[in-house]
Amino acid sequence: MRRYLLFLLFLFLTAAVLRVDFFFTLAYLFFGVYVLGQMWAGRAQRQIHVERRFVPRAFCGDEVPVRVTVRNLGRLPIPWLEAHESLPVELISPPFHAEAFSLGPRAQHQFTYLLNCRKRGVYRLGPFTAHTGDVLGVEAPRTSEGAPESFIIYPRVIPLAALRLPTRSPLAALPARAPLFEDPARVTGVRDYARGDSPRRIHWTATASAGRLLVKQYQPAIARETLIVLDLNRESYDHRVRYDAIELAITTAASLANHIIVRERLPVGLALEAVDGLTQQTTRFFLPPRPERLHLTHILETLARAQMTQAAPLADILRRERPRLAWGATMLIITGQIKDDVLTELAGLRRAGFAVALVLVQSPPAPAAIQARANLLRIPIHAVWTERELGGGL
Amino acid sequence: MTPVARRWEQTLLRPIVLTVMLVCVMWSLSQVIGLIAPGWSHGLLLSICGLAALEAYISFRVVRGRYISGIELWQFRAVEAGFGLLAIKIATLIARGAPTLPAATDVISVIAALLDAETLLLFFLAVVCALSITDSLTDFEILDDLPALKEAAVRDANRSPLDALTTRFFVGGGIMVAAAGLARVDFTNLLNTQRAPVTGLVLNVLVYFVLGLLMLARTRYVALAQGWQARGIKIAEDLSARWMRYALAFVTLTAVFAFALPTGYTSGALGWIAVALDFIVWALLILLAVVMSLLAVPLNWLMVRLARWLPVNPAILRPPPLPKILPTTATPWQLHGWYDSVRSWFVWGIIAAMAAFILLTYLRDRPEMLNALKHSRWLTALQRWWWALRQRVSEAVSAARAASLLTRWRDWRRRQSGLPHAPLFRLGAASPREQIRFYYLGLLRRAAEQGFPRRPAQTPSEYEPMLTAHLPDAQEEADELTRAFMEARYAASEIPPARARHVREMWRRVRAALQKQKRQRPL
Repeated sequence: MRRYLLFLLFLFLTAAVLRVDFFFTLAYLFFGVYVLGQMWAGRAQRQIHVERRFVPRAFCGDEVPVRVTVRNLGRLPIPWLEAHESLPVELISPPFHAEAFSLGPRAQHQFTYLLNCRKRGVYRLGPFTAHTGDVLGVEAPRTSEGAPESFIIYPRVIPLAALRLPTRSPLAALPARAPLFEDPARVTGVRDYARGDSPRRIHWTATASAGRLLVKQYQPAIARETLIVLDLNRESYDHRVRYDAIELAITTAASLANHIIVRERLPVGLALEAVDGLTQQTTRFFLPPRPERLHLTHILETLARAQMTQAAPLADILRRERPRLAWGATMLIITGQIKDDVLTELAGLRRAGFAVALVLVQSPPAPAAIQARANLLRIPIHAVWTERELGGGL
Repeated sequence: MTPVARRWEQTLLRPIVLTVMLVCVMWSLSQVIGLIAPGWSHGLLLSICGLAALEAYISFRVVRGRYISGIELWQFRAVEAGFGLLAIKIATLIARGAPTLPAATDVISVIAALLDAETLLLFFLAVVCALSITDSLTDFEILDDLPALKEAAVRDANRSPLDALTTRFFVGGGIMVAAAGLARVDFTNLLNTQRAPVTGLVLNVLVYFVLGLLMLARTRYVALAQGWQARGIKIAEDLSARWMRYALAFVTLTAVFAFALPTGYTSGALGWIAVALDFIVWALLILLAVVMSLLAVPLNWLMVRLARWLPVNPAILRPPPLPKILPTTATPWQLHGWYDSVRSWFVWGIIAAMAAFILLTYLRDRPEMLNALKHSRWLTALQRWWWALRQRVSEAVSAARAASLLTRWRDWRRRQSGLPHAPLFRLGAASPREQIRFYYLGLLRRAAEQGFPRRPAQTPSEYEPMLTAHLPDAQEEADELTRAFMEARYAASEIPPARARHVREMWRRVRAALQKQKRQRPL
């Protein structure tokens, strides 16, 4: 650029001193090339529009095609465009898709790549980076970035042969779609609105006075709902097999939720504290028990986003979630280790009228002392260490 | 890996273009030499330069093909130079005829007679041509060859072949412009700033710069494409051809724009430079006169002393007659009438705009300097004054407008009609959300005109199947427009301007489909 401007200055001085009109024309030509080149490049950069078309959710083992369309929204052509799509290495092996092409006025260019869904999680597709510039190289190339998009791979769901969970309901094995478990005539209190709550439950008077959405809590007549409490605290799992054990715990939670909703058609909820893959912050997730299939999708999505955390003791989660459940509900705790404080909390739950079951994702069986104490408290422990074991049923 | 530059481009096109550009430069130089030496043969110089360029290209290929290097290369170059000199001498002998040689015994005189100034100058210019061509071809070769390009980048990070070629283009252009300008202006009249401007097209300069700009565009593509290939980036097949098409169109349009602008100016504009030059010349002459006077004082004193000893000739003492003052033949340039003044100020305005643009670009690349400038006391005060002035002017304009008869009449009409005052909707000033709503409502209006209106109870989603059924050519666009409207109407998320631009594009396609349908509908 410096050379260019120096030459331009030289041209003007020569034209002024020698008084040759044509040199002024030349100076205009070079100045025009300089200015119009910059304007063209700037305008081209602003007129790039990128659109990705893909199914944003998939299961492990799926292959998802992503079609990227780069459009030129302007009337001027884009002389060259170096497009580069950043992708997570878990989904596609490098080198990632990169292409250099040109776009005519209001033209579009498409390319497609395949995502191999190998591991559950939340991934970011992009950002789409585009470099463009003028044809003469008067200015350095300009770079623009498109917004990344989220792509969720659900955890693996293993069909369970049978589920022998404790329940206090005599009709536990029978399918029931109707909400028979709460008596709307007996309001016991209010709580904050949570996703999935029916609008009929909103307590409008309390909402108006509190300034936030509150829903009524009814006294349960018979509760047949299950809450899966997933422990993702890293300290709860043996450090040698931590990552595998946590993945298995998540798979177990997903499989159980799938079985309860799809096969048994009973409501199931989920409670966990984990690092959210979308925001990368420790988040408390609570999905109240619901029997719909759409709710299963929400559970799977939450499980896909969850990553292990450092400060979320299981006993605290149990204590926190206990008031949200109706009397007689089943709490299904999935963890990698049984500690004394957890057992104490489970004993409290038993005394309060909840049915409790424990799924232990652990390679060696639970220590005899713990096992004996659990038996004393009538808390069934199911040990899982492989997906095959899980497939056999709990 | 396929080479970026094609074979015919490397072996034929580039040498031809380089030779033509070189001949353009030499043409201007030849004209300057012709002013100094009136018998100078332009054709001879141009032929020799053309042949030197051809020879440089062939020798470049030979050196690369046979891997000649070191001492062998120097020997090769010496032989080349010897044959070149001989060929030039033969050419001058053919052009000028055989000179009269001194006696054969005096070898030095014979050599001196053979190697006259013209031959040596021609030889020097031929060597310059050959070196330029060789250097340019070397740079092109590095650009074409990816390993060589990497090696060059490692060897000298600050100098790339592209930079070298660009610098050579500008240096050559500068020499040519200076020479072409000097050739059109009489040397003796060079410092006269009041002389008439030189008009007309300088063809060789135009050819040089147009070819050079296209060559630069091509070189830029080759450099970028090599980088893409190195990083495994797929290059579209048609990119190379499109690049050159766009470059050609861009240079042509810019040239048209440049030729359309005025070039004449008066002393009101660039005459300041003339005044400055006049002053410099005047100051130099005064300084020279003072120095000469100071030198003359002791000489005068010495001469007076010596004159006492010499016989006096009264004829010498008589002062010579003063020379006649002749009327000046050069017509001073003058522009008459308002047209010339307007044109002159237009030129001045263009130059001011160019300077401002360059300054802005410079500051944009250096944000710290721009920040310091923004926070300077003087500029802040100036800015404050400007805003105060603007506010006062706008207040005065508003007051004048409100008091005007036209506004009163409009107000009266509005009161009579009973309609409320509605400000004009300007789409450009509307937010992206409003723009999207405008496009969708426009679509509804047009659809209603075509006979498939939206019923009041229908939601956009319910209306969409009806819309797409009537618009088979723009189903996707209608779908996207509906979705965008629902987002703009019901979602709280921020809508970027790019989204509105995209929706505008969709709306245009739907509108085109509707118009097409309207045309095809039987009456």
